[in-house]
Amino acid sequence: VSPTVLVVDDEADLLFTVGLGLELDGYRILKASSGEEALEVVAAEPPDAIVLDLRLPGIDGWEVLRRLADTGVFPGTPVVLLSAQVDTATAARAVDLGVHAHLAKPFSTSELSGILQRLVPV
Amino acid sequence: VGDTAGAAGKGMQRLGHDSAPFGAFVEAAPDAVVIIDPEGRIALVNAQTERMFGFSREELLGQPVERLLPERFRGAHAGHRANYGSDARTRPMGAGLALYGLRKSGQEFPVDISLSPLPTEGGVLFTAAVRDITERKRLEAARDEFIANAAHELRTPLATLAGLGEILAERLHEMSPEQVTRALEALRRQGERANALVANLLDLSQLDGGRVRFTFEAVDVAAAAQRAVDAAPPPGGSTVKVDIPEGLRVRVDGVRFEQVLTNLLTNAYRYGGPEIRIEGSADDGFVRLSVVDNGSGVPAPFVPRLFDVFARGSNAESHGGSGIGLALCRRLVEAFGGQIAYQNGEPGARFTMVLRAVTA
Repeated sequence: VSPTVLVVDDEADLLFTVGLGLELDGYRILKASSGEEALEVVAAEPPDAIVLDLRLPGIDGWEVLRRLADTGVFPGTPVVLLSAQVDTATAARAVDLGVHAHLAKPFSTSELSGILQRLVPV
Repeated sequence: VGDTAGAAGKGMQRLGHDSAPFGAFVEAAPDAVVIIDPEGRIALVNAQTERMFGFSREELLGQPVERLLPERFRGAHAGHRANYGSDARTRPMGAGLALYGLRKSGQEFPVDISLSPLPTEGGVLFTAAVRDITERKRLEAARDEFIANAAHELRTPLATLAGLGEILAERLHEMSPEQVTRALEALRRQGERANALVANLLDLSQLDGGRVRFTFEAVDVAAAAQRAVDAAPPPGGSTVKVDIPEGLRVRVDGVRFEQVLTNLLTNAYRYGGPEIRIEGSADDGFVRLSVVDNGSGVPAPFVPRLFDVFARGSNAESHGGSGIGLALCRRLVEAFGGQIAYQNGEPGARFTMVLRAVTA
């Protein structure tokens, strides 16, 4: 059975792009375009990994991480963080929280594939 | 002026110069001019020095020049001064270093300083011309932030363009026809978005530089709104309804007016609800034109800065920004002699411009 990856991004085209790359890798893809929606999806169908954009309308990526930690989903379920920039403060905060990987936009889809293959091999 | 020029002139006489024209020139200089004797004591200052540093002439004359420096630089400065004395030539001080002055109030401020030797009958003095660069630094910081924000804003379309480019180049044969179609649509959309962002950036910089030439003409509002919708059609799932009575006309630059409307539409597509309306009405010699959506509206904290360039919350990662589209809209509408404002709608966002009506 293919591992399931939840992709969370409020930009529809980017959500499609990330989902497409991972789908071609053989993952089953769940999508959410807001933090609230992501939490609903996780509650309904826990994924094997989560690709999470930091910048989201409503609750942001950090808050999603916090709530996932509260419900015991994270860090058991690996999270790959996407952000527009990886400055040292953002990177340090991500490491402190136990985020498994962190990519800056624009990123290479093959790099994301490589990271997920290590975390949850197809 | 006569008195202060006279004061500088007296100092100049002590320095052994033909005082009157030179003294008046130094006194009126836009830079703070500080002349220092070989022991590092202040021999002369001009009026600008008094204004810049907040000390009176009397408080400074005869004092070590280090008095004008923040304390942490004073020790090192005395050493540099001695070195400069041994190889004196005209040059900027502290090449590549950030230099600071200290006002009487204790406030530090960034400065540029040029040094030159001043041979006199009594020995070589040193002239320091000090320029307060607080405003320049502020503008540089604003420019850096602007560039960082522009880069940030471009990253979103670029992430899709780069990602899909990579997938299409390497895995086209694995993709279904539906996936290819969807990918090509996304490429086109995000390419246009990056293009529009760059066009807006250039327009904004040209407006700031006063280099935009407007061609004012009477424009039919309903027709312009329809052209804007045709140029920027709603994405799948969204609709735009144009509700403008016939015959409403405004005097604007037609191309720029449509640009305002497409920016407002794009803003609604990106941040608003799926049902969008363009409403127009005549209002006592003015035309009121609104772009309204049925989304959740603009969160209250962002409203005050909504029309600023790259308005966004304090945490740029957490909140989407309107980028520069709305800032450009405001500049253009104001250039047309009108106004634009935001209201929280019922629900959703309502952007309204008010422009003087053209009567037939």
